[in-house]
Amino acid sequence: MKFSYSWLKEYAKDLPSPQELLEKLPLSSVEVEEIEEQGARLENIIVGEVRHIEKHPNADRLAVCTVHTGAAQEQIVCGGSNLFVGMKVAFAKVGSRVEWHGKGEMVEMKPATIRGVKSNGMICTSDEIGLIKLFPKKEENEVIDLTAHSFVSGTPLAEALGLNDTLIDIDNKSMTHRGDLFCHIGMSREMAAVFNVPFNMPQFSEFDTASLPKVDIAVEDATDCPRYMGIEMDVTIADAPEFIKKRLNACGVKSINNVVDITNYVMLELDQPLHAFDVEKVGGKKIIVRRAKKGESMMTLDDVVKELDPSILVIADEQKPMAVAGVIGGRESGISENTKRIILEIANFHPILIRKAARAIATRTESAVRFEKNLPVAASTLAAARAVELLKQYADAKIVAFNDTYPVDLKTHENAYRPTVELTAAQLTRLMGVALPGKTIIELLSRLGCSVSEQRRTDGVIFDVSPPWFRQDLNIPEDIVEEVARLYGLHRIPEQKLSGELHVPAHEPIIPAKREVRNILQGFGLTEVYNYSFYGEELITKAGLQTDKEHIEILNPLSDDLRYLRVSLLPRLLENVALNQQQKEFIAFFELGHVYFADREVQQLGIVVANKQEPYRRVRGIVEALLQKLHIAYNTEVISQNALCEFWGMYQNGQALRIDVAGKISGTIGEVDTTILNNFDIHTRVGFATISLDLLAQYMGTIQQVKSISPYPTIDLDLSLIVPQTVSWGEIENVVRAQAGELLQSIQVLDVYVGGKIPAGKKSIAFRVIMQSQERTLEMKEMEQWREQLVKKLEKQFGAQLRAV
Amino acid sequence: MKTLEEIRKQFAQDSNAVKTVEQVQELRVRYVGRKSGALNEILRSLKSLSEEEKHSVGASANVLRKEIEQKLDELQKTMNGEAQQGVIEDLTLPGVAPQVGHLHPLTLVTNELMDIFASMGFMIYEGPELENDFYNFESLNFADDHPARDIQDTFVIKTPITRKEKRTFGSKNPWLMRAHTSNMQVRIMEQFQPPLRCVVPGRVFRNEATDASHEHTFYQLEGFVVDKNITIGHAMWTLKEILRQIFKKDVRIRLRPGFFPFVEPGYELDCSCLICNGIGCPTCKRSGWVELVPCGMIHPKVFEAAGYAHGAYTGFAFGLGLSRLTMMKYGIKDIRMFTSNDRLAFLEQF
Repeated sequence: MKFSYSWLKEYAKDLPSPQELLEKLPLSSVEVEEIEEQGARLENIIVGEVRHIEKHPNADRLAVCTVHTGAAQEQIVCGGSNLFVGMKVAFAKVGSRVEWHGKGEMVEMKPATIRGVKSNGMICTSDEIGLIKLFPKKEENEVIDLTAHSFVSGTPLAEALGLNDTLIDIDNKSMTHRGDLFCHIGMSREMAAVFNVPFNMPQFSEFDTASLPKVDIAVEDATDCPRYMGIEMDVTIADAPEFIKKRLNACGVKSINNVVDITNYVMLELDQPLHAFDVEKVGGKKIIVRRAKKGESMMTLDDVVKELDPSILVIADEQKPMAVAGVIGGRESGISENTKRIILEIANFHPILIRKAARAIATRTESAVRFEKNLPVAASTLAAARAVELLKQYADAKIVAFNDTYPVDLKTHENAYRPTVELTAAQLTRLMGVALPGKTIIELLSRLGCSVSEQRRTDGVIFDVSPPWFRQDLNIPEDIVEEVARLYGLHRIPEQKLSGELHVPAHEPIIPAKREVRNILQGFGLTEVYNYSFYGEELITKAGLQTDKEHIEILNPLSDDLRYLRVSLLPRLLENVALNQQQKEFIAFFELGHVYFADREVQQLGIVVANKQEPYRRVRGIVEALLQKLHIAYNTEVISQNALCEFWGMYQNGQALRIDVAGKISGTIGEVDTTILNNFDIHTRVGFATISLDLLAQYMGTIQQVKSISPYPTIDLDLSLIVPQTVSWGEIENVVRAQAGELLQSIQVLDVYVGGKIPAGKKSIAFRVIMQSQERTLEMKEMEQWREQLVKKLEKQFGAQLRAV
Repeated sequence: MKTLEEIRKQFAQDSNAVKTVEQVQELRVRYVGRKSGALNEILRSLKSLSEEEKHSVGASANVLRKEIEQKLDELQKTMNGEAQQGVIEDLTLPGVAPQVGHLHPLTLVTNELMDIFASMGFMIYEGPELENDFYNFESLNFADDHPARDIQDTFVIKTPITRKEKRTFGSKNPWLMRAHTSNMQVRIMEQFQPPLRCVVPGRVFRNEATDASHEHTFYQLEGFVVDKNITIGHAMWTLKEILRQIFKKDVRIRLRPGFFPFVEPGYELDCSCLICNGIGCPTCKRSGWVELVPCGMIHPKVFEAAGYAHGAYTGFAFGLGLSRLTMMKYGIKDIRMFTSNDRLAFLEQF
């Protein structure tokens, strides 16, 4: 919100300079975003007079004008629609900065030739020099008309218009809980408290309502509208006085007429939004505060028809809604040039209702912003006095009727202060870490308008703090501590080293496991990616999954492709592969992330390896090496489609390798189905694995005992077999293991080959068996015999033949 | 069949005559080859001998085998060396790179922070990302009508959630994607008793349009300390110490009032600008300070939600923007780079 510095100073004349406010106010209060010198952008813009106008020879809509600038005459090409000889205009000299057509970048004015005619400057429209609020445009090409003012040509425009104020822009976000700061009196009071300078609350003359007839007001539900004050007045509509127009302009509010401007002025001064209805338009002269009916609609002041519903509170007459309560008035019942009598509304509405209504009709006005902050009901009392005072003075107002559904007299202590908060000195010290003398505490809180008394009880010193009526945010002792601390000076609070019991921190078990997994996989040459937790139907379908199976849906997704929560890391990983396949022949990604189900949320490790050669075996190798590095014992089993699983669509030929840890399924490894690869436009083969991180965390480090190393030599036995293709390596391996018993040190598959000299329907498998005894040196002859027996067994069981080398 | 001594003599002669690598290989087969090597012939003949003889001959044979293999290895080395003579290795040639893996920059920064906090005795928890409104908002003193609880800021779950939780949640407590890692405050307090020092790094979600500095998915690190007498001064010292460790240089800090429902008093912690050291530069908008850590003293309502006795403890809580810190650390200009996995070139720099 923009504040006028001169207006703020009206109540606290010793306020520090704008620059000091910018630097120091945020240390104890709200954040100043920037300070802006009002006249700064009007440099080299002066008052000029149009002396001569003729048609531009080469352009119908342009005129060639001679402008008198006090010292000289300039020739100007201008497209203004309201030019006349003798007109006083805002003239931008060469060297000034203007905003073309009121939008975009500021540009520097230079001598130009426009359609063959020289032009030395510009006659400005109000939006070209940031004065749209002061000079609203009626037509697009209307230039500012200053003729009515008796300005002397050549006078700098800022000086002529008295634009010598400084604007203090306060960040609204930093005062969300301080509704009392959305007005000049409130902000000035806050600044005065922070900088410890005197603040003078202006006194407004009260008006007598005792003998007046009542305005007919019916509030259907006092929860929706705790207070409604209606003041019926005869008025004379005219322009607002200059000081009001200038202050509204400074705050970015458009000037309309005296009555409307005064309602806005009072809001900027005292926080309380006001609204004026034209009595002529109030059917039955009755104000009804009620919920909108289904199907009702209303054209608002911004000329848009809004659909209303019962969640929206309206101000209605006997027939129709006249305003969306606290948000925006209706076009029809608004003030016009012909208005003779008004009902001035000064009311209080339920903050949530206002926030929701503003959202429902997509109109967040200055009024709505203030009501949303839970305006105190007492605010209306001051605002009414001030508004009547100004209307009497500047709109010849005479009160003819009055009503107030909840009168609040601010002169009573009960109304002037909020409920007392009891703060013990010990509590303050305990939070601030510093003990302050009682008189300092009282002094600081008094600056904020609190009424404070100190008591000494057996359990220590206690302060009874009664916050002023406008500080609705002060309710508990901690709130008071905050006030004391910020006014005392946060920089004066001494830092304290953290001390206390020393514990070895007990992390969530998955934390160290994830660190370990990441480091190992990085060591294996894999690259880590982070993908969104969301995906959409398209990606789900592409990956062979279904949206209606297990997927959790978001009620309000940002877009359709972020509608569901992932149940697998694979779809996004495949997308990653597709996007990078042009760059590399060998891609190996992994991701650690949450996957989400209705009954649980688990953390998974996903791995993809894209490569033309044996991607499945590469992923399996990675996973097995990882498990070994983590010292986890595991079993593997080939599973096929008949097992119950939602993910079968992903696996090539409907088969996968299951990894079991301690008898629990902890993951699968497989090759991605060709159809799915095609869906993703992936032109290579992809192996993938998904492993439960929770299980890895649980079983990490469970094998730690080393095996003793045999002092005896090993013997390598290489075999090359031809077997039917239906025989799996796993079956052969089982036979080898069974026969080798404890002499087996390891088995390595050297080569698997199909085609060439190998007969159709068969494959060749070459492997090496490494034998070693813990007790003796194995003899070659013994091993050769062993091999012969093995070959016989394999021949019998699988029809295996030794391949001639 | 030759005796061991004969083999030894013969080998000495043969090995002297060797000229090429191929000849070394040939000798290897002839003397120590598995099938027809002279030594193996002797070993195979052992079975006709008595146990004692077997033992003594076997041992001698093994000694000889070692001698021969050693000599052959030496010869091979010499031959290879001779073959290489005249060729000088070009040391300016590039190395042969191993397959190098990469961790995500967010992982690197998170790891660094976790190490710092763990060394100060903070335990690390991550918690669920799909969370109930109770832990995300209600327990943190966000009133029912708080704007942050409006549906437009948070992703709300449509599908019924059937998770087993210690608490039963009311009908006004929908399930949602956590909007901050503060969701773990009350969860941790329910599970453990003070003294508590905990940090929660993790993924959070906001329903907002994405641009260079906004993402619907980003990363935070929540931290909190609870004990009998924790003060604002403790928060200041701790956060300063942490920032000094993160940035590896001394920093100055200052507190400014800030408002968050779950702390009272609440603060914004500014850190002296790392670019200009507080002198004033474009990064800090010439103020010398950078707003870095929202923090404050834990609100009594939060302790109440956790079931702690009224007034028993005080504590402070703070939030670090992991995405932002990572961007600061590596000079990443666009937050979307974190999930733009179409550019491996980005990830390969880490």
